[in-house]
Amino acid sequence: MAFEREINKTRAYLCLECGVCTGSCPVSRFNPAYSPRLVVEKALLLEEGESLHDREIWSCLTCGTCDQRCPSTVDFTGFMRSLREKARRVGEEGICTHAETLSAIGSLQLMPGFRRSTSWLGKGVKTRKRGKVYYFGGCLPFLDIVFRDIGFQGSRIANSSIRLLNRIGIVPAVSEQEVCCGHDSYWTGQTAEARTIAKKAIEAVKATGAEKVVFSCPEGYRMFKDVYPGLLRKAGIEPVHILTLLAESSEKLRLSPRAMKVTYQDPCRLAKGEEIIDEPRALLGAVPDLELLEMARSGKDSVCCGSSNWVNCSRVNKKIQVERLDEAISTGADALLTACPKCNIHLRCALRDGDASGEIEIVDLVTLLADSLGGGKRGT
Amino acid sequence: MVACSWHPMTALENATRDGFSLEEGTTVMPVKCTGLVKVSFLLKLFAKGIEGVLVLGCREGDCHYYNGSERCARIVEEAREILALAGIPAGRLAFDLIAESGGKEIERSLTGFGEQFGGKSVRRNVVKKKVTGSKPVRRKAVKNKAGSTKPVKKKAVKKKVKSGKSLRGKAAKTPPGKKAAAKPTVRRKRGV
Repeated sequence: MAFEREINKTRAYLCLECGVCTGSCPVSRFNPAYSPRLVVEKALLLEEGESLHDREIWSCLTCGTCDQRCPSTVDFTGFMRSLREKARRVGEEGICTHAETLSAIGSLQLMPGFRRSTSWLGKGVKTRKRGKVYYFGGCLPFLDIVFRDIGFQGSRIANSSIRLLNRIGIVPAVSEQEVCCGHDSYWTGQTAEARTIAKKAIEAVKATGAEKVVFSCPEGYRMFKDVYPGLLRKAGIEPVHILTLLAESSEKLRLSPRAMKVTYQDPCRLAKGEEIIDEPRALLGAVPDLELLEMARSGKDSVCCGSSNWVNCSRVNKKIQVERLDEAISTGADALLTACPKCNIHLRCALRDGDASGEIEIVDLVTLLADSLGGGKRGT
Repeated sequence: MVACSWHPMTALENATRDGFSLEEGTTVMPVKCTGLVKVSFLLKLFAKGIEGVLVLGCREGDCHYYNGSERCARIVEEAREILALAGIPAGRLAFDLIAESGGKEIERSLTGFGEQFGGKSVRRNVVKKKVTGSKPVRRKAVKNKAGSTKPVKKKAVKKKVKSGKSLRGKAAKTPPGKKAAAKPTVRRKRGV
């Protein structure tokens, strides 16, 4: 049978064709040609070659809503990833967005002896070369350059994270040898490349003598926590998400009042599977005068920002984003908070297109918290 | 060297007819218009181990497709920023504008760009090891101290880059060396 290994590994044989995945999938809502169970069915019924050339396998956002809701616990996203890995071997790949710049940045980091600049570090932040806690910025400073036209400030998120860590008494280590986490390579089926990147990243972290690595990006966090836990265990490093860390010591932050209404977009990588749902809400609760207005679909039931892994951004993805923006606007909030740089970028992009029903500011959660630090310097 | 197949390639042919020859290791990649060059294409050249890339476009008003060179100037600038952040001296990627009759211009441009690679016009790095780390950077730093480029020129160049105007002749030659020299000092400050 074609894909026997993948079907066994992801328990796809348990699929009952109940349709819960199709009903939950944000892509299926706007693209009837796509459905998680249909992909599985095609893999079972069609010849192996045929299903690998199916363009729809690149439409999956890998958000994990179907995995979470499947009564048979089928790992649909894992199945999709395995198909992509196989499809790559027969010369197929998703349509790269942003003129492939982001995948090119990824390949630059694989150059032997790669040493990135730390020029993105702001003046007010305290970092060190060696230390017990490491801050992993990942691709944030690079995204700054690519998404300048939509006003995205990745370095500001990274600097804000370090400022918040400084406030709770942590001076994190940063390294010039750091590379990205390999998330996008992994989910687009480039498993070997992703593993090389992850190994390189862990080596860089280990070289600073760190025992704990703090992520502000949900994707990096999930990559190291769930995809390569073995690599981390071997290196003796524990991954922590910054929101968890800050929520534990929120009283130390001494946040100043912010009279504004906000709504929060749960990133898939935090809300689905990992369930870092209460921490951001607790942190927002620690900001005096700040009012959190929840969207109808929030927490575990949150909707993906509409695009992922820098592949296949089409009209369908735009529709998902516009629908999400409309939902945020309908809450009456002044700002839509995001905790994932990609949500921020995608929603900003959709907002700029002008198809949403109104205006709303897209703000990063960590940046908002850092700007609310009493007595701290504003911005970076 | 990535060159537009219209004016720069004609200029290169003219220069070759007049006896100019490219250094060994220089690869010429003709493109239909430099406006078609993508940031990812330039970055991937570096990722593959190429040490330096010189992009040659048509002069203002000469572009066969109206604004290809202007577009390319923006693309090169973005790629240079990304390279700088990735620890590769931004000067290793340069953009120059060449007239159809610019046989001498192209010669000047190539030799100027090649100075940072030890006199060779554009040296392709076959052994990947050489690209790594600070070795070529250090060599350049020493070289630039000895060869001292005037600071006045740097200012003039910066202005031109910002306003997006043409980067012709000498002006385009200066930034590679200067930026390459500035990089190592920053690194040493951080004690790496």
